[in-house]
Amino acid sequence: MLTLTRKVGESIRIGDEVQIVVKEIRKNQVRIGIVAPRNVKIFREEVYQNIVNENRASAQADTNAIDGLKLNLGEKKNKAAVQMNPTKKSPPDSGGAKHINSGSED
Amino acid sequence: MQINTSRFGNIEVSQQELIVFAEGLLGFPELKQFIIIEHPGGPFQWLQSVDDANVAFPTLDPAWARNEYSARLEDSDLKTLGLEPEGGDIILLAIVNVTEPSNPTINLLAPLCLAVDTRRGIQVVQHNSGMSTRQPLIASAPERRVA
Repeated sequence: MLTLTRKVGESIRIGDEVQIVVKEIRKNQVRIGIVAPRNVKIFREEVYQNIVNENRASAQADTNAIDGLKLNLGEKKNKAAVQMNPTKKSPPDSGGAKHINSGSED
Repeated sequence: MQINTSRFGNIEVSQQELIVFAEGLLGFPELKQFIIIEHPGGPFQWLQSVDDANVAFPTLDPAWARNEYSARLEDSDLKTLGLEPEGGDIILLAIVNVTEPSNPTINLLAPLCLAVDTRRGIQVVQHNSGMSTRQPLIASAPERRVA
């Protein structure tokens, strides 16, 4: 692992298209901005690991395990829906990169 | 073409049945080609890897677990699915975890989106949605929050 020390306002560049910005430091928290192309996926590490672990656990199932589910699924009322934002514009940036974490924290 | 599967034996599939996950699934980035196999008696559907006979994910329409469930797709997701600019028909499937037979759960945080016309797929993470990776399928089971 490469470790660098940065002050507030300073950045790190990874490759030609990823930039990490130290935006704010308070006590035991750091606020980090990330500029990356849209195709680069960015996760809080624990969210990423959680999903990877779930995928791996699910892939262990055999057909008997699914057969054995004593489910009372009832009647499926509504089909799940997908919301797409095909006309969503990203903020003006150089090189097509998109700012993330520029808005609110969850 | 013939494909080999650990759960269903050898299966004959046509090229048109293949679904391409250009980015694989999280934790399985190298697995790009899949087919859907209906579980006998339904309603589960297995996402069977064509590249690895041992890997298959049991899935379910998330509406079974949560009425009015919806997933958001970003522009980059549409691009991966080949659906830019207007969008297109998509099938949503959520991966089921039956590690605990008495408490089967479904991953609503990272559902699978399959584009019908382009036959491409993607696992999209619903960041900041409050959705759980382990939503209980049985209504009476308590929902566990996983960080």
